[in-house]
Amino acid sequence: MSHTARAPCILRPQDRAFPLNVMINVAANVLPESRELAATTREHLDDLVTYATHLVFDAHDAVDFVTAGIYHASRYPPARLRVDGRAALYRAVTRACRQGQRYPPRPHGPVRLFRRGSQGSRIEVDAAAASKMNTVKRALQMLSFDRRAALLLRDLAGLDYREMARVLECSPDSTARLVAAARREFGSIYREIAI
Amino acid sequence: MRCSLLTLSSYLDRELAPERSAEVDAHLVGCVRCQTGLGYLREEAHRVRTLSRVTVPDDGAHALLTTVGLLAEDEALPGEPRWHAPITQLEQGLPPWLQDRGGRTLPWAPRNPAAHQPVPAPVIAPQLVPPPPPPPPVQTAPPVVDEDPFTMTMNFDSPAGRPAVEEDIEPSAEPQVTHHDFEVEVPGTAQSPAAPIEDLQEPEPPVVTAAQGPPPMPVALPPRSPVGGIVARMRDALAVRMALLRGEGALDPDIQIVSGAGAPARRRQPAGPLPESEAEFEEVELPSQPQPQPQPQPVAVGAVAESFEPMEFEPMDAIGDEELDIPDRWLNEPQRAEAAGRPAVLPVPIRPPAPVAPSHEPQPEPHDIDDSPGAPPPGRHMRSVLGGTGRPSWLSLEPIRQAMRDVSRSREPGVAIAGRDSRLWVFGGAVLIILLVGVLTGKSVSTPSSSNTAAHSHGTATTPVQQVPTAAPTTIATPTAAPTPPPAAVLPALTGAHTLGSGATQYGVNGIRYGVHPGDYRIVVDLGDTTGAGGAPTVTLGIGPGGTALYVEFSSVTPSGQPETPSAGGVVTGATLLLPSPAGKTVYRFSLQHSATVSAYYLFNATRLVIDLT
Repeated sequence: MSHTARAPCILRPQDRAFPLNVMINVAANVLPESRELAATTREHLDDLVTYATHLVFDAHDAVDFVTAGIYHASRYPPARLRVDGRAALYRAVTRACRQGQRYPPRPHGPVRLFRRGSQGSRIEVDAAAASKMNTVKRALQMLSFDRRAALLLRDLAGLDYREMARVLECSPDSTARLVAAARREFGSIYREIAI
Repeated sequence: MRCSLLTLSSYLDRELAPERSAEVDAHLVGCVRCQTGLGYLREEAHRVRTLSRVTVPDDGAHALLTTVGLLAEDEALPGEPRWHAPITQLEQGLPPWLQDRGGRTLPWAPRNPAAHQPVPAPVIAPQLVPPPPPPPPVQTAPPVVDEDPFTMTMNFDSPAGRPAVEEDIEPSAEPQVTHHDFEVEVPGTAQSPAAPIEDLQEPEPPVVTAAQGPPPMPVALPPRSPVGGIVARMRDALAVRMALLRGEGALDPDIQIVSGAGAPARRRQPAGPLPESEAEFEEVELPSQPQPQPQPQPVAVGAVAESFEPMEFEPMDAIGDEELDIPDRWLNEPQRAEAAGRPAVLPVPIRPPAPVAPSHEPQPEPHDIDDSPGAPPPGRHMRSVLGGTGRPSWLSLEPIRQAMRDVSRSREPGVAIAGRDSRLWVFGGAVLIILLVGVLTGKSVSTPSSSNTAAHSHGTATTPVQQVPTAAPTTIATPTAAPTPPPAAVLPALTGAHTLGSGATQYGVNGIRYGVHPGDYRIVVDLGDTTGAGGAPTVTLGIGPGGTALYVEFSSVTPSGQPETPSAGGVVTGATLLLPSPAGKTVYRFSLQHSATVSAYYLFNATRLVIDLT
């Protein structure tokens, strides 16, 4: 796996002789270092895995999706890591969960019928308590993906509407509507099945 | 302002502007319905917030960051160690369940302690805020509903007439009265909110009316539309049952269900409490921690001194779109007080408490089912699931579900993607297999072509089977599946039968005519000689059993189809060509109205067969 740190922009002497032909990679000076992204990821890793676990209802799948999301975020890191780092991570993880992207990717097609054992992630997490099914998770299971994601992002991960808008790829107003609708539907379902 | 679920949700999340939040504060003091709705929203947010946490140890985090390439193999994990971080001075003063650092022993510890802090008093815009009134002389209980609203069966989210949520909650900053059934007539509505600011500078002390309070909460509300309500409830009940059936996939040995549908103890002993030694039932209990007692929040009684009149509550699903044009009570209070001849009651900028008082006391899990003997039985949606009485044992779907779970585990992303059910693929595969079996089976028994049938039947009928005598045992040919021709019509025993003709074979029937003559009824069969060789075909005539049918049997005569139907009123009521006729025969059957005597003869070189019925 290649290191994602960008090399600093250095204008070589031969480039200075032809300034019009030089293309300065501005992003190289703006993009964060991999160490900073790793620190941000470590800071929010528990919350990310918790969010993904309750989003897809399986801890092992959640780890795969979180890994895929972090890998995507490392390939396309946000410019303002301290400001948008958390939202970028949640956005990548949400997209990975929605699209079923795993890392390392699993084989597709008939090849998967001949694979041996599980090729899942070797990362161990402590998800014993989160794996237990209860009424709250049953009610969450009945929500749509977007509403479930909105509910978890707001009430479990603690993101504000601006960050949620970046994660869910919609406007803050739509985020507010989504959260309100998700709470209402969740409450109706919970009261229905919890007697 | 208007009652809106969107506004309440945003208010709960503190995403409203300060001015808007102040309006909601003022509105919540007088609107019990919004108080209840806000309490529900808080309860649902609390449920989600208390979901169990997943912790990633340092080695797992290092492996993950190494896998994605953010760290080298020999590079240390950034940040301080997760579980051995020193507790800051700020967190030392907090109980462990309110600290920011979760732990293995406290997986349920909230990660966001700010959300558990008491909500600060809202900031009201200075142009709308009157100076704070003197403290009221009497401090009484906050204006909350005495009864716990969540234990009541209030039809907050009644499915009856429930519109789409995302359409009915639309942010609107301007109050608009569009639904007159929600309109409330309040004097002074037409005044602008900022008009009577000068009159609010010197407020009078509030009048305490401690005996007044909010009206009792409704227990149940009838649905708006009976038909729509029934359909909506049936739809929701079906959705819930399907969800419960899908959720039974969690009956996995590695996933433990502690309560709700699928709980093993409840299924075994639905009537009594669980024994302590029940191994499979491990109730998740929160460890008893010393909880700080919440301090009672002083609330000015004057803020709710408005007399609450009994009102009919609409279901809370109606608050999304309908408007409730409630003027700012505080700005209009001096005018109303002056009109009523009483001292004005000024507001206190204090957050109205929600129906659910914030409490740090350990509360039982809201999703747990009370297992006490005196607890009411579960509702009708859960009886069949919990009791297992809805389906006989021989109809258990557990093997199929287990197979489905196995299939779904082997697939990807399978359970991870919402809305994608692997059972659909299983069903599709089963249908495909049945289709293939049907195609293969149907191909083996399908009707072969007519030419093959003719050749086969001809060969079997005329060509004898040649048996070659050999010493070696001969292989017996497996008879092929050929369509069996229908049995030929069998002529009954004829009475009064007589035969005409000389056995000519070149004739064919061209047609049959009927005629009524004086004293008899005549049937004329027109025959055609195809070769001109002469002679007459052999024909046998006779009356069938019962005397109501005349049979005319030609030998070696080609028929020309079904004969014409005789006219009504004659002796012959019907004529049919028996199909299939015996080999080499052509048989006509004439139905007779009554028994008759038959006489027949050939005319014109056997080109006409005349049959007289008398």
